[in-house]
Amino acid sequence: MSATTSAWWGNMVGVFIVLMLVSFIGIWVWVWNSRHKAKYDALARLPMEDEEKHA
Amino acid sequence: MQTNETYDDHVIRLFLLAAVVWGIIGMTVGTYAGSQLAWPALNFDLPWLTFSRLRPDHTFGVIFAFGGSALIGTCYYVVQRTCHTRLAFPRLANMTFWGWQLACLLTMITVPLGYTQSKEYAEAEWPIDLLIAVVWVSFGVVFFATLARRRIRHIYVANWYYGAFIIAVGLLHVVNNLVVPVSLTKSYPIYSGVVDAMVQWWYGHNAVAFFLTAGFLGMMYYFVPRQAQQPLWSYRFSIVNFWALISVYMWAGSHHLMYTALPDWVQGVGMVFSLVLLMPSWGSAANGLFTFNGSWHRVKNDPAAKFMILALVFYAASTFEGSMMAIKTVNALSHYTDWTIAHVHSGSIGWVAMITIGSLYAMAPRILGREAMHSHGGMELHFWLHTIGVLLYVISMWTAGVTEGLMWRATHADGSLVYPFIDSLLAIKPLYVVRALGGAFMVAGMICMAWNLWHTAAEARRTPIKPIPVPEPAAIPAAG
Repeated sequence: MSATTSAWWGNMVGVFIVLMLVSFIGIWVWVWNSRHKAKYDALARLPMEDEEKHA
Repeated sequence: MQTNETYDDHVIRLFLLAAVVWGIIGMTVGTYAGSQLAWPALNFDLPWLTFSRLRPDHTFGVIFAFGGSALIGTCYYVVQRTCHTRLAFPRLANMTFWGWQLACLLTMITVPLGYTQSKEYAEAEWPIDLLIAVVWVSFGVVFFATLARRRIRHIYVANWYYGAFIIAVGLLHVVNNLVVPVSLTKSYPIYSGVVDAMVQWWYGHNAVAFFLTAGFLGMMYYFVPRQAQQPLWSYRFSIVNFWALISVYMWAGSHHLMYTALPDWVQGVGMVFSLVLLMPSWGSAANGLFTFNGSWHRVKNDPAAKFMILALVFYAASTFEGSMMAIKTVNALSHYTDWTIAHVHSGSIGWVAMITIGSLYAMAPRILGREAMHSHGGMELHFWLHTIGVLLYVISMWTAGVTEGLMWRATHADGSLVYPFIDSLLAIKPLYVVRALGGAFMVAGMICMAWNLWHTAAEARRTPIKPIPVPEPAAIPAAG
């Protein structure tokens, strides 16, 4: 049996996929947390000021 | 409110000039190499003028000399503006300019002379690679030191992309160029066989990922909201896309080695990660395009914004195409055909060149002390020349690629080939002429840009440019 078809490898692949899924969903939950909203809204406007200052 | 500091735009002006000059050179070499495929006699039997030597000269010229100069220049611009601070280590920043130009010049000269590592997108021999490594680390030092002295607590998302670009490209460059030098001009890689191929395409694909995508997304996330005069559509979504992109892209490189001696499961990993990549790719494209919501009326009269919008459309199109081509059954048709050439050019001259040109048109008047570019009509002309050029190029190469794929795989009932190879070559020859024409359109567009910038800079050449003061940071809530 090659390394890639062993039970150990299969379990590692499964654990890795679950970890990736959890971190992906975790990032969504984290950034949609309402305590970041005011900061993110202000940051989203940051590039516009380069024009405003010279208009 | 203003601080006593001013932005350091001198080195950015140098990079702007270099980007346009290298753009003309790189695209001219590409058009000439493409013309040789239609008219082979154009190599005049001169070794340094053969396709095999001009092709890597073209790819290095457009990716690293043109794209690299534009990336480093805009990075210095964006990091100062989004951190409300002056560039750190101005002398070191100047050194990155001259060092990068020297590395580009040396590579552009030595590759046609036949000095090469024969690694795609990493042809330069080891002494130049060492120079590139030193310049790259210096670039990183300037960038991260500037970030460290920022006056805005949170790091704006464009800088995350620029930061990932700097770290990943440094890593890729060093690992892929580990060689044993045997003389000043010749070296051998420390890897061999399929491992060498995998390291090469881990590098090659991540050059696409972190040089041609993450770096230019940094440009996009700053210059698109600025040009649209709209806040970024979703700042939160940009963060999700950032982490998804950088964690997935690293593992997609093996899709370049489908149906080779590479173990099948590694090919499978490359295919799956390439499909997952569609999410962050389309996420960023959508974020950029939706940012124009509410200001589409501005677009009609703003060539820079038009460049940016088409760039995002090509980004979405070419990333979708790339994910599809990574599926093994699609790859069976597309691999080794001109479809690959069409795909990489819809990404490079569609997405990368257009976001660059749009951003440079947006940035140039500001750093040259002018209200606007010298000629609005010149920018419009450039937009149409470039757009026509891209369409001629990619449509002709898509057609050529599918034609080749179908002709090569056509077999009689007994398994013998329906078409000899020369038949497929004759079938696509007219399309090679169309491709060369497309290239000529884009070179004409770049010359038009150079003319426009030269006149925009006229006043700046006569009188010193008044430095732009760093504003007091806006009150951005510190929570989180």
